Amino acid sequence: MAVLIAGALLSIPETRCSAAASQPDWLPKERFKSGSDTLKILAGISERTRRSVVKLDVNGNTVALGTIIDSRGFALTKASEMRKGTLTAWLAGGKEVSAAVIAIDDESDVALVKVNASGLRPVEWARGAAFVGQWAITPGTEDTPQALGIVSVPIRRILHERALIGVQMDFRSPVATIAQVLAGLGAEKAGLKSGDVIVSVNHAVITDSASLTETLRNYREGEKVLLGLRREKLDLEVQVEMKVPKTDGNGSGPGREERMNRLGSEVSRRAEGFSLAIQHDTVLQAWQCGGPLLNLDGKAIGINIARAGRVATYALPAGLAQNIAISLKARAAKESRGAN
Amino acid sequence: MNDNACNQLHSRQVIPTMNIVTIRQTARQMWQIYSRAQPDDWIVLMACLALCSWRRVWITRVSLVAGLLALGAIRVLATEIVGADQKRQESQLAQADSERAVTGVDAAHDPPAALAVGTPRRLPPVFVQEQPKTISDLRSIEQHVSGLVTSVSKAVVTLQVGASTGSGVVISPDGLVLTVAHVCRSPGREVTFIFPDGRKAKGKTLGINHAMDSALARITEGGPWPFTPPGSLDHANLGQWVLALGHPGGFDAQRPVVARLGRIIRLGRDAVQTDCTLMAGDSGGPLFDMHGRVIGIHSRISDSTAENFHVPITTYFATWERLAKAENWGEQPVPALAWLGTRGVDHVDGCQLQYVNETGPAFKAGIKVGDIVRKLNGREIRSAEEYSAYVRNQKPGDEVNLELTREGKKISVKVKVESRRRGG
Repeated sequence: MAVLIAGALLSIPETRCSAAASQPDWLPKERFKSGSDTLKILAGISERTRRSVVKLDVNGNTVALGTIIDSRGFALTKASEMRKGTLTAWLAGGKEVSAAVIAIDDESDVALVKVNASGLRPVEWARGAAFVGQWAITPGTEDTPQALGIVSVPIRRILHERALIGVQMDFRSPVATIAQVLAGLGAEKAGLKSGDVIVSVNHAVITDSASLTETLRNYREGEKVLLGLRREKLDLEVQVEMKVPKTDGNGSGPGREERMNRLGSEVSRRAEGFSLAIQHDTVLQAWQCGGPLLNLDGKAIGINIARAGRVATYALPAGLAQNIAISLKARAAKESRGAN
Repeated sequence: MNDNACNQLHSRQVIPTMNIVTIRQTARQMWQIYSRAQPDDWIVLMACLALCSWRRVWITRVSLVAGLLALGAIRVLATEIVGADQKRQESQLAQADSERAVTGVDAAHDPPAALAVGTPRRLPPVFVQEQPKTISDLRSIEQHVSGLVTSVSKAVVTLQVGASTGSGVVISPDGLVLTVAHVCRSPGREVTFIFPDGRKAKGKTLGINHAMDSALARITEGGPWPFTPPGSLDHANLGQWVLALGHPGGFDAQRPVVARLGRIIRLGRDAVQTDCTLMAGDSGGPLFDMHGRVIGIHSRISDSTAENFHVPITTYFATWERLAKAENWGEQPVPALAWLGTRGVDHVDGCQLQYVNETGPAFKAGIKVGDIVRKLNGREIRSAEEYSAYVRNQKPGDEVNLELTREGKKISVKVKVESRRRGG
């Protein structure tokens, strides 16, 4: 008993001295939430899952990660990062093989890729919904994961950024009458004029300004809509491209917020408009999307689909990703039969 | 002036001390304890007396009676301490009530911790370790944090003050809200508070300290409101796990409060720095310790995702009376932060620039997106974070020499450092 007490007393000044001598002002980077000391704990999971991940290059530049979904080399990845060029895949262990995009789901921004390699290990999907506070691991092809975070928001729908045709409506009018055409957007280019009445969008009937706004909300930037117009006594049809107005990025307002959102990390080119997504706080680079998002059992709770800003990364939940995989494989099989 | 006010505040603070009780008081209290005794206590007492009369041994009797007396004394002391605490809280509430009666609204009181929404009492051992070591350590963090988010997020609110929007946290059942100065801007402004379940409440801004970016607001209708008690930074450590909640980008009815986990990176007098990523809309939101107590309020960010700054809870208490009396003081510091108008990512040779602000000095000096910064004034750059840290340490007005690689060629460029107001 006495020895124990004496030992405890002796050890106190010792630890104090060493603490005082090397008392740092900053937490070493290794001990950050996603620092190397923390990632080291997950080496076992990386070891088991690195063969379920590929790194995808286009013309020698890494553009995304891929999630292996079967041992014949089928992988899911982020479609909008598959630029034109020669696609290759880096496997765990450092081997580079050829790869090809074989089907794309535009709605979810997922591409099915065939990797020319064998012995790949399909990712194991987790059961049960992701929950807030759950660890979310983004593995790569290396010994330790790429990064670590937690689930920030339960699964929800992410609306796409509001794209416009570029008109201001006359809300006093009982029908959808254009009050003013905005400069630099699709409506101006298509020759719309103030006083025109919009009667349909892609043949769906428009009764008033509110129904027009609601209908157009379903279209993304870059999509073209066919508008039915009544100009004086003429009925016209014009095609208009949907666009997201860009702010100049200076001063206050949305531009300033957008700048803050991008502080410290690059945002994916397509970061909005997902029918279901898990939001997590893992800091990823845009090219680190497309791979699996794992729980502490090493099972995939989803696939990373977008770096959406400073505080958010989105992942398509496991159930949705599996459904997309099934339909993309079926489509690819049908197309190859068609080709034969 | 400010210092004097602070000192006065400190000298007026009453530290609760245990009263010295007279023998008579002790006896009375002991009688009270025995008279309030539970059936179990009576059984023990009767058993003791039976034992004494059975053996008729004086020594046993004396020791038993002494033992009972000692037990009683311990219970008296214990109730005395708890009682003093309760009395202090009651008197503070009473004082607050009377002050409110005098001034109409907005009197100061410490929020009573005993009424808070469920906060876990005991922390899993992983939170006293310097570093989690195993997957099961991580699992216990996960379990704890997910429970914590559910309980404390009820007290996180969105504030709409004029055209600006931010976050805040309710710290008392009658609706005192901690937030930041740059959301409130001035005292007496009307505020709409939105709770995570969509409930709305009216209120107003109280005191504002622009120097620290701290501010207090109050809900002036309804209640009692869900709240979480404020904590303390007295025993905070680097590496301590923390939870940040808030509404990044503003309130979104389709999305609950957004949770982010991180660790304390730096403990400054002016700010607590963590790696819980923040952005616009989070301002005023709470930083919690693992007991679910508020230890900081989100204030500002800088380039790196590890540069998230929170107003320390300490300053709210040091200036509590001024905040409660709706005073408006302090200059927003405008430190001459060195600025080149560039931002980059890690590169094997240093930092590759991804963004060059067209109004910034780097752009004027001909620096382009894609350039790789290898050295700054001869100092080697090893990461994007190091680059931005070096830039911030420069003096506005000075000229710095950047050694770059552009399309494989090595060049060097001189840039005159400009200054920028701190962001966030």
